[in-house]
Amino acid sequence: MYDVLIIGTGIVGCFLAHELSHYELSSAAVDRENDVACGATMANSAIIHAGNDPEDGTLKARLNLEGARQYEDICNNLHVPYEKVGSFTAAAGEEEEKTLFELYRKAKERGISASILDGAEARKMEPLLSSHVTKVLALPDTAVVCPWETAEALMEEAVLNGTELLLNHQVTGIERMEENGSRFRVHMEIHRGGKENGNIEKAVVEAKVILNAAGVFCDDIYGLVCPERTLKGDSEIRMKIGPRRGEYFVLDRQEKPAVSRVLYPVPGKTGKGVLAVPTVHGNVLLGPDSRDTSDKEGIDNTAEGLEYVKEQIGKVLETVPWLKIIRSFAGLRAKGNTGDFIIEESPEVPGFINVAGIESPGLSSAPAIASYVRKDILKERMFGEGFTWRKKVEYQRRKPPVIMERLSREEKNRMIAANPTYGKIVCRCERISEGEIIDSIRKPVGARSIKGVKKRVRPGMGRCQGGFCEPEIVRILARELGIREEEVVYDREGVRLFEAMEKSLTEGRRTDEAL
Amino acid sequence: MKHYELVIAGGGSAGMAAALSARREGVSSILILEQGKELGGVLLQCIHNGFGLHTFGEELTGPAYAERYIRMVKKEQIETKTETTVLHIGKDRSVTYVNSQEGYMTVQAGAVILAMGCRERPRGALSIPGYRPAGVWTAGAAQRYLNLEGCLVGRRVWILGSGDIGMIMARRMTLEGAEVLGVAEVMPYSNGLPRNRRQCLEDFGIPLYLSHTVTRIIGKERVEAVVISRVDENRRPIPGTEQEFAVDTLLLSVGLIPENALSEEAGIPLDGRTKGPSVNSAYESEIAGIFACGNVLHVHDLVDQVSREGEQAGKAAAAYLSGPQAGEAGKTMEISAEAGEGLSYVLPQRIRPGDAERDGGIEFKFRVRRSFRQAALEVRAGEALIKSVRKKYMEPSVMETVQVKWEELSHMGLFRREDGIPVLRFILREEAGRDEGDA
Amino acid sequence: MKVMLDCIVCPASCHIQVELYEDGKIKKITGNTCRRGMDYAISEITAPVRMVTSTVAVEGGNTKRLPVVTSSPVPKEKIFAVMEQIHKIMVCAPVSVDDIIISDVCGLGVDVVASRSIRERKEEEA
Repeated sequence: MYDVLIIGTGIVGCFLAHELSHYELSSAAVDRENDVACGATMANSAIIHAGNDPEDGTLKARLNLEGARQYEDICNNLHVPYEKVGSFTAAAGEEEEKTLFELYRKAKERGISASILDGAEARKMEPLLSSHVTKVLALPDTAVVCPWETAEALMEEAVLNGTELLLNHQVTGIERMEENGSRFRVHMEIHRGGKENGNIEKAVVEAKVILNAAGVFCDDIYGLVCPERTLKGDSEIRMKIGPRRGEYFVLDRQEKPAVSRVLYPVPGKTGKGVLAVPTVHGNVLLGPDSRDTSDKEGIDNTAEGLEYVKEQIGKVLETVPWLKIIRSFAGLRAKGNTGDFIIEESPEVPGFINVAGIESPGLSSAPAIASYVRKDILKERMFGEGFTWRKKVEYQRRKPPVIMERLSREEKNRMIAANPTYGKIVCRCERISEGEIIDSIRKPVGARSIKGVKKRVRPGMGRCQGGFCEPEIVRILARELGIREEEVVYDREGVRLFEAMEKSLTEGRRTDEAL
Repeated sequence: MKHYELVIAGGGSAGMAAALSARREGVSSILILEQGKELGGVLLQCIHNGFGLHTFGEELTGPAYAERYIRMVKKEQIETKTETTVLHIGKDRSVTYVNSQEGYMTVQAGAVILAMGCRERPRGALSIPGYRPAGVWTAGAAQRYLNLEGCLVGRRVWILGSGDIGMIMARRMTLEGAEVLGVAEVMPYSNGLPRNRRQCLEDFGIPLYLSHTVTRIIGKERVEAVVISRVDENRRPIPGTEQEFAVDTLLLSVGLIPENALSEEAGIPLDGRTKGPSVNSAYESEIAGIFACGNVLHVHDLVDQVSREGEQAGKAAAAYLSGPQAGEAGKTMEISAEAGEGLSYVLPQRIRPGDAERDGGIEFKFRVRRSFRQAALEVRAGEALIKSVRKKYMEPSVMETVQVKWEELSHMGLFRREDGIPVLRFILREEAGRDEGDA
Repeated sequence: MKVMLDCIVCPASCHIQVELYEDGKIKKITGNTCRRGMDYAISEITAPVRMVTSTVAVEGGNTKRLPVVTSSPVPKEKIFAVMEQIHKIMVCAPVSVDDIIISDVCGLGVDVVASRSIRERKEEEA
């Protein structure tokens, strides 16, 4: 029986697990996928917004500001990238300039460094900035991170400190158990080898407290224990998460990326608009659009969505090196129906805590969400008689991963001499060695799929998109996981990468009669 | 720092041919750096036949062609490092590489030959709407899986793009038990060699849909179907022409791009048309002593052409190493070549008079923009017509060559002009002629 | 009647035209630039043949697959029969290029031969 069960291991679930792993209590995190960070965390703008944008008095405003201030230290401690690249919010014409000054005023009020620059001056610093831009709001504290690497590092550290991670576990039912002190019995299906293939095992765990951090599925999970999905305050509103799709283009990494800081247009009604974002890995993201969808797995790109991004990016960029596009993707924001984050204990189900509707600025707020949940939402009484928050005396830090590109020549050669696999480049686009790929599989919360390797160490993220290195990665994964090559999955369990291997090639062949 | 006269980045057909020809010209210290486990490059996975007719006078498979070169390289005792990745090339011709035995290493070269080959345009570059499921591969990746790993990536296959690798994979997968439902080509003509259309598609009754493209990929985790649409003359899909095909795999054969990440990083100027380095008539890039040949320079159709270009580059590098040439002084008096109407590129981009004089002329390589019948290729300098060659058929999928003789260049007095660099323009004119038509 | 053929003998891909009599016999062949093109056109009209290339599994070699090729073209309608024989084969390293892998495949008087050499895998490559 766990003190806390976290449902969902996106950036929010991972921060929650990490926060709780510092204290003397037992916790587990479950996810239906075979990896952490598979939903919105895998597909978003990757920005730590400075925090001037959310409306006054909201949780979004408070937690964004707090979260943004914590990020740099957190990333440094976890050895994951964090770049304070700064941002320009670009206004064209008087109307937009008015909004810009309003944003400037809010930034100042909240203690965020900000200044207003002339369009021409800004273009000296960002040569690709649109010539229509007349004024920009410069925010030097805007930063970028790698959301999935951050999530994975947080979970790795949580696991090192006792959190149990249950992947491939889909929550199918939640029973309330007032007796025995345990409040919940959670039923799950385990999807090893894929649901379709009939490999479904069942599992049950018990927990005193549930943290519902299931992203776009928060309302469904809440519905398992409280069909009315009641929220605090206004009893008329029932929790509803309406996924809102955002589509993006990715530009290849270049010696000198097209933009060196985040370029926002002046925000509109449906969000922050279409941005240009330099990533921590030297790529540039263009997007997102913003459209409501009913499909919670609707991360498909659409012709209209991509067209919209192409059209709207012109607000901030004069020209776009379209030939450098290497990928497009789409993500779903978990948009709640209250206008703010929904972070509260259920008024109907004591001990069931919703951490829902974490749309933008969710990534920026995530560290503050975790501390807010622990300090203000979780009550000692929830864990039974005599519970007090006690910090662990010893806290195990995550080992910094070997990133060959970042080492000095001497360090590199020392590494290769000790372990020659660090000298064998598998991914020629991103220059990733076999040793780094092996590390990404062997470490706690290691990769279990081609996509898992790609998320952790980036082979396949480059301009060839895996065309050259994928067979090699399949071989390494099979060897490291002790499975056959045809059992290696691209992403989700049970989805075969190949149709046939070697000896089975002969099955289902055509015969001459077909000619 | 270790010194080599010549370092060659890439041990495929271009690199091996360059090394052998440099050795023939007397270059003694040569180093070939190859990423793969063995020399041969992409030839090792091109198990079909059709290689070597020009080079060896017989038709070989890709691996057999590679093996002949590998033997010659071994016989010449040319130093080779495999499983070695070139990381950086400097303008000063220093070359940094990494492998498991030596770690990170920098060597100094007298001359460098770029022979890194090309890569395939991936799906991401196309922005096809839909999910990003497993089951979408470039044709070359599927070829590698099938021919080197023995694994068939799909059972029901659609192919986007009629490039040669795509068509060859259509046949390969059919032979191995897959069903290839069709090939969609966005252009109104096939992008591969006509013979591949015949023996890879027509032989097996695989339909080729010209002026069609894939407008949607269906399937969340694995490809379940593709939707193809007819396109208009601007290559935009025409609504209402959608057809859905249930397949588990989509292969992409939508173009090859010279692999120039290293060249770009080195600051070697590239030609926007070929996407490879801009070179002079000695295959030398705009950086002195750095040469380029094969698919890194421009994408070829035939390995025989690649080997020949490698030989030429190897020979030129050897000449560079042996000191200033007779023509070297003419460097300041180069002619530049430019692709005009009807051509997508012409190469070399610059001609040194010394090369043209020594070799009795220059062989220009070019591609046409669309299919031509009964066309004349004109080479002009300003208004003056230097040369005109008539051709019955020209297709974008076939690289063409034209020889311009030294006399033709010199009698125009081109190298003596003082009003800037003279420009040779290559233009295609379609002649109104008897159209023989299809019966 | 006229038949248009893209010659597949070599990559030059000549556009050959074959004029036929009513009874299907060949009247005239034009458009080819070599003798082999002429032969191809005749055989393509009367009895088309193709080279077959594939791979077979290798035990103990430095690669997993051995590419193979027919020593000369086989009748087009026998391609899949040849493939069926190829699929039954597994070889052990070492192999030399041109080693005969299947002799007289399907009684066609054509061999299936190795199209590269494969050496034995060393310990450290396992």
